[in-house]
Amino acid sequence: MELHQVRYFLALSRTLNFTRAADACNVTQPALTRAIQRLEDEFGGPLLYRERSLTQLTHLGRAMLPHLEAMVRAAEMARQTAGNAQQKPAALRVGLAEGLSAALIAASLAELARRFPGIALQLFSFAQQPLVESLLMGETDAALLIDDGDLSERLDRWHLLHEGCRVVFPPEHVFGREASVGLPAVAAETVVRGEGWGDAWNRLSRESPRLRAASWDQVQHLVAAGLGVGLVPRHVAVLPGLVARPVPDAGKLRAIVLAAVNGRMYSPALDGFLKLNRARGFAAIGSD
Amino acid sequence: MTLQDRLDVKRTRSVANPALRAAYEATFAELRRSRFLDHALRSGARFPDFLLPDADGRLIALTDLLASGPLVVTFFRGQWCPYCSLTLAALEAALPDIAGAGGQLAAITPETGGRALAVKQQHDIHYPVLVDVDSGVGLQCGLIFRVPEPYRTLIASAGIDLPDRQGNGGWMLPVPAAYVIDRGGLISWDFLDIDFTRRAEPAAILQALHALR
Repeated sequence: MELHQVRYFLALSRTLNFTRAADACNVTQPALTRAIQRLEDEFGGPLLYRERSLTQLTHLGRAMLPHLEAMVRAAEMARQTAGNAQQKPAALRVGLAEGLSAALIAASLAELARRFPGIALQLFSFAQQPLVESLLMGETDAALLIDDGDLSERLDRWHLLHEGCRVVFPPEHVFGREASVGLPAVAAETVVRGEGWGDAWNRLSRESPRLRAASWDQVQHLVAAGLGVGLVPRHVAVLPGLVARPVPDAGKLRAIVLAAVNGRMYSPALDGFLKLNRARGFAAIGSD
Repeated sequence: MTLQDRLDVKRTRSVANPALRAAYEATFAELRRSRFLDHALRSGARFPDFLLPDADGRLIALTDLLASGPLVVTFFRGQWCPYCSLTLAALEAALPDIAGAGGQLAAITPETGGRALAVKQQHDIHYPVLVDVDSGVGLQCGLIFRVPEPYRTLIASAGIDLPDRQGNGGWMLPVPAAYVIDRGGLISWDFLDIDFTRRAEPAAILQALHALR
């Protein structure tokens, strides 16, 4: 397929009118129609229903639309970004759902700073819902979110990793002598439970937890105060003064996704940030 | 043994499977029928500018690569493609000669999620492997096609999940393509084929590089 064909299709999907789409693309209507026909030929089926008064996307047209939009955006950004990289000062605002460590994206931010000298970088940390709202309001450019199966349809999201968990404890604890800790050994301790544990807690204990905290920070503060050990997701930043070890048999705790609002213009820095993080692998750091 | 000899050996083994043979042939016939390559970028055209992540987490621009000499670019389908593996390994073997001819080399794949790095490590590759996220550069070059049936089903049933691998559900792949790009950004030599078992021979690439001197 050719870039212009896909552009014509995107214009048609917005206008649902061959004449207006041709105007928007600055081509004649027969030229646009031919290009769309060739695209349909390649895709093996019609992308649009053409009725006298009504043009609508077919099931195939609707299914292909987001993928083609992403491709055209990538084609356009590649050109624009390459030209702009060294010029006007860039800015990027990245949100991390509460409890996600910035270590996940630190290397990509360092690369952006190298590529876009003078870039203004801002990191936020919010609970998941306010962070989604901040994205939708345009106050955050991109975010790392927990895929709870209930993310807004307006977000493009790309799976980064399934996250395992770690046990945190004071430095003098015997767990510190091992490279990793088994779930039964953790279960033999007094465990501070954080919210968002779901099934993982049931694997750990049949009893309802005596010590509960709302945030991973709170869990760790209780642990630091000597109330027990804490189980936290792999990429929670560990408080100074505590030690963490992986708990491999605790399984995968949650899925972390990269998200941005669909249909919105990307700045070169945002495009670079999303591409860097989509291109790389996180699996190696997901499970220790 | 040339690269094409090795590709032919692999192809002969693959098409011993009648389903695979039929899928290959239907795909090539479809791309031939639609005169797919008529619209691909050729010698004389300007290669599209880009800023793409590489396997090692850096953002690489076309101009960075051209700064130190003409550039050989090769598009490949992904880690799962045995013909691509043979080609990438042959190019690694030719790397000293490419450098000797004053050239740079880069491979481009639509595969995300750390697969570019995996390919690099698997074949001990010392040239950049760029990730064409959402196939934007391939699309500008006119190299991207939607994988037709029955090949799509066959790929999927082999456990190769292209939507997951590319982070894009379009079921798109590039046709095999290699370009030599001069320092001014113009394509001086091209290799294009609709048949993914045929690739540019390193010796031909070297000859094209020498022609630029």
